[in-house]
Amino acid sequence: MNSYQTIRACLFLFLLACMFRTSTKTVDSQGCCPVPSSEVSGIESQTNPSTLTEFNMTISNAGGTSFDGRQVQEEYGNQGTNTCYYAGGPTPQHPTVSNPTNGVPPWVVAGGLVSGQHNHWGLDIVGVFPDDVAQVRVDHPEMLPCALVIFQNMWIECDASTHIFYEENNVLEIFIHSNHVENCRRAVLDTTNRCEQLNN
Amino acid sequence: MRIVYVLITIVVSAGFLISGNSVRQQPAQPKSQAPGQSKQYMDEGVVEHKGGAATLRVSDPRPLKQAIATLNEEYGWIVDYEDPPYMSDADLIDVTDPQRRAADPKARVTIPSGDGFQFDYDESPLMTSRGAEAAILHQMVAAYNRTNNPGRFVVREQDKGRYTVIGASVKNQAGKDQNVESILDTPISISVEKRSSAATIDVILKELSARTNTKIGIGWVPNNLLFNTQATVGGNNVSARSLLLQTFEATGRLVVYNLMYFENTQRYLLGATVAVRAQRDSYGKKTLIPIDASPKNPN
Repeated sequence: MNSYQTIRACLFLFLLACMFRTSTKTVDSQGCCPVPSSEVSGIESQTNPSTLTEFNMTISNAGGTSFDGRQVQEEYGNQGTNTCYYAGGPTPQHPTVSNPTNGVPPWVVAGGLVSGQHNHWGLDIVGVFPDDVAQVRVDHPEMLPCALVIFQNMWIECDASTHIFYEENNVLEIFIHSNHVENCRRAVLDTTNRCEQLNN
Repeated sequence: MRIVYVLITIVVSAGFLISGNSVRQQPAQPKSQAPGQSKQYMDEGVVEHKGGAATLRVSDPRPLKQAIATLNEEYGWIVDYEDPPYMSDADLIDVTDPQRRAADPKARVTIPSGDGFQFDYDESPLMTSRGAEAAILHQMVAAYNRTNNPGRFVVREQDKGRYTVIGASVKNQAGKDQNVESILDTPISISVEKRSSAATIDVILKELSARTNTKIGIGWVPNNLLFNTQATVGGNNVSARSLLLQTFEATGRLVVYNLMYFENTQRYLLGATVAVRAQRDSYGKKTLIPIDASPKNPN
């Protein structure tokens, strides 16, 4: 066996070990199943918007993969920041994603709240509820505008027992102004930061 | 060249395999001061372990809330917290920004006057006794109630290993202890319907507000969990707390809540988070793990 064949054999054995390990541990390399290479955050129009934005994501890759039926989930990213935070206030000092897990995923591509929408998942709700916003405005108007920043990792299901991380540290931002809020989602696989201003 | 490419691939893949997927916590730092505040608090509580004994230390305007959050993270408990409706300067401090007050003398921003609290306890029973959690909670609350921190609290056992620490007494305007009712004990009636969990909580709080003539709204909650799950909850003359707990249970996740009272606006805000437990590496860096994470794919 020459050196090139030896290297190929070692790499093959390594990949076998990788596949074995994915049966009991999250695999976040992208070699085990097709993953999105693009994710565009669309903004759902709301009949009676409050202070929360509903993001509807469109995912795709160069191979035209249909991701329909596959589970998508968010996980903790880097530590969040919050310039709207003050001791005794209603918002957390280090905000995090709200539903981190691999046990109860609420998002299924083309399912749930985006049922029937090919290669869509959602909705990712970004924002602070109106009473929370009101309390911050009343307590510390001198701090406005202020911002909560949340970091979000995303994984997509490969099969019933494995999933792959396809984005790390998407940036979710919530800006509180004196007379409006602005909620943004900047996905790693998107081309731009998607924001919605709500005049509430 | 092929060898270089293969080595790079192996190193990068190894890096992906080794890295975790949990939030990376910074070590606890003294809190920076917001405008108008002169007190220094702790970012988060700490538990120090010393061979079967433990010491809990917190410092926050709501020390008991921080203590409960710390113990929940430390031991994976499900303990909720409810503020009493603080009403007097004996339990509050004014943190209005000085420049704001200069411009508007009527401006008033208050927070509970809590400060530091330390609780020493024997944690060895936690390893052997099923009732140890309740015992420690009761001991801690009793110890808190002996301090000069605001509010007096009681521990109430709920279903399925859940406990709630409820504010039961505050100082009145004369500085005397006054018993108060928990607003979430109020019986309300809402129709049994299938709604999103978020809409269900909204209906519950709106009905509770109407019944008590008190402002109560949704604070910092797990938006995605509540908007993307459904709950069929309702009933006649059922406590608001019971309906809320049913709604949280309907999400399929373990959720802990806190209820904060803001005296300057006379408003309650309901907050909640997915229940998590802290894991620390040898450097003390904390990672939060949802306690209901699937065993098939551990975080």
